[in-house]
Amino acid sequence: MQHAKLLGYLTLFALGGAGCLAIVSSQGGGEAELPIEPRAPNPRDVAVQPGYRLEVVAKDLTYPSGITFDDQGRAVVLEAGYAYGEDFATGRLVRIEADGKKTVLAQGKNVPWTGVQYQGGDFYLVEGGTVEGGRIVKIGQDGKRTVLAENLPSFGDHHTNGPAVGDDGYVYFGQGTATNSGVVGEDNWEFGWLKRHPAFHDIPCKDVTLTGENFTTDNPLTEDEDDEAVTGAFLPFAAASTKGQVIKGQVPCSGAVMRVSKDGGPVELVAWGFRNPFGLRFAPNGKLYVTDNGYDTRGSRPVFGNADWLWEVEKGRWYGWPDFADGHRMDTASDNRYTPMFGDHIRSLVTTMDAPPPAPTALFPVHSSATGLDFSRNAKFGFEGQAFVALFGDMAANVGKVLNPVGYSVVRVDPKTGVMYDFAVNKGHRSEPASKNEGGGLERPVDVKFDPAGEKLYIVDYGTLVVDDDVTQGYRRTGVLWRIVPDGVK
Amino acid sequence: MNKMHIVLVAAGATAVALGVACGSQQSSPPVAGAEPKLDTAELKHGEALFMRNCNQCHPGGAGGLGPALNNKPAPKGAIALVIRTGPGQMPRFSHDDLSADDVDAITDYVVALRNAKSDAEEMAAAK
Ligand code: HEC
Repeated sequence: MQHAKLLGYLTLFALGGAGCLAIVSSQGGGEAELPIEPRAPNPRDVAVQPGYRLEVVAKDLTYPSGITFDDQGRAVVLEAGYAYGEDFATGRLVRIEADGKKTVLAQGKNVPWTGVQYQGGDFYLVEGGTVEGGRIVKIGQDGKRTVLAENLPSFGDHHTNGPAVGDDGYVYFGQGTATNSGVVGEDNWEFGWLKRHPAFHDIPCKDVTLTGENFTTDNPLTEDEDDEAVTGAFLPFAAASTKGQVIKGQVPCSGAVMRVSKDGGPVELVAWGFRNPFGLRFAPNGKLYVTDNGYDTRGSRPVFGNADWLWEVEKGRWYGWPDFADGHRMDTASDNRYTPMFGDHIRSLVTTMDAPPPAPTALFPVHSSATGLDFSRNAKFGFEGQAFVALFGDMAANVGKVLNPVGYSVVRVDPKTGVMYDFAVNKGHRSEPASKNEGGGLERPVDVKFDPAGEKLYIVDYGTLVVDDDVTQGYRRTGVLWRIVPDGVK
Repeated sequence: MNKMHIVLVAAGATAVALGVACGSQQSSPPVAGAEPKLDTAELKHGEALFMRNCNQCHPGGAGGLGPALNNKPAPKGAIALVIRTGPGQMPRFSHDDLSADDVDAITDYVVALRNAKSDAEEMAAAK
């Protein structure tokens, strides 16, 4: 034991917090008491930035995941049709009418539907693709459906996400990785997809040379209880890697931001080395930003204590997955900081690729699940140029232990400095979802978008999603659409 | 189990024996819009450093992956010592990671966060 660590413990004794994370049970916000009470959203249970008020726009939505506005400024909400824990429902595009009624504009089964943007008379919709592979779809006013891209690699942990429609005629989208950190393992069996797609794995966007790191686990794919599997990076479960082995890059690939023309055509690589690039948005300065979820402490190669990230997307750049976290190389990081307490030292899976990644624009709290974002463009709302980001909230203890619930809020971030503060967060004992503090506040914010005038910030709240003894369960019809309005605006 | 883990478990057991509060009781109510007034360049610097190095585990000074920092009157020296020693699962920040001035700026900012929170709570109570 290092002397420094020992001294640290003594200081902690003095502060009264010694060794907490090692001994207490996880305190995630999804770990609520069952049964869950019916949801009754109440703005008074949410603390918002002084000078602003919160309103309920619509409720009883099932797993809503995104929002956009049509030519007439009407809110159109996307319902994902899927909850972790493998609850398959129907993906729906739903217009919220002035009287609160809902009109279904489109529906489908290739869920989860993860995002939508309206532009020039068309809806650009992302089908996350757990069922049939990810798709980018254009839906015209007449309801005509055109598939712009398909067969995106979405059978794993993370899906196809986005979109952000650029002024350049392209639809930009994110593709999450198949696994936590590059290696298919028993965690993927527990999530359910390894059973459905036993040969699925991560696909690099460019050629990678492997270091030959392999991971031994039980083999749930065979009947024999003693059977073991040895698995390497970017390979199917139970396929071992060798040092110097080259995995061919291809597009579409995992952990990337890609784009396709609004008229269809080939999918092009924009940048890669992300983990779960979820929310994409062009800032007023024309730059593209993406939120990205950091590693979890799970599976064959668990990683501890890394943030979620906001990145400025530079064309052609590699952002570090699966060997960097927070912009730092994990195997040489100071104090071995990304290695879990009882885990093995994290070694690199690939020999160095391209240039090292840049520093993130901002770091969100560990396990906060940074998702949708938008930028303020109007002085009437304030904070022009700052990003507003939905924090879906932790999925502890599935993703790792936390001492307190993390996320379940909307933060604002200055992209110039990375400084962030809560903009809307539940009142009460700590930052936990309504289902846990039994109030009427926020559950799981998943998207935020300004109305076309830029005066009101809409918050898509996915609804109740509980993690109980490793079983994840979503509750249908608990989704809420909120908005934040500055005091001066009606 | 290696030596470090033994010490850790022992530390944990002692903390429990002493009735030391872990987890929920260590947390503190989050406050929206209670960001500290930062009137010096040093405090601004501390804010930027905190956001890069600490906020991910102690969001806004409240609890997250790590314990809350804004609910206990820890002296600045103790905070600095924690930064330099990295107890438990907290990473240790060496002089290569953060200079002495950086640590000073961060600890000043942590104190400012703490004060902003108690001010906000007083205002809420007065309402
Ligand atoms: C990767 C997560 C992580 C990061 C980053 C981090 N901490 Fe911590 N911190 C912890 C954990 C976990 C503990 C509790 C240690 C334990 O009990 O195991 C802690 C404890 C502390 C404590 C003692 C509080 C108490 O109640 O005992 C202070 C003070 C502190 N951290 C300050 C900081 C500062 C300042 C920074 C940035 C320079 C920082 N931390 C960065 C995780 C982190």
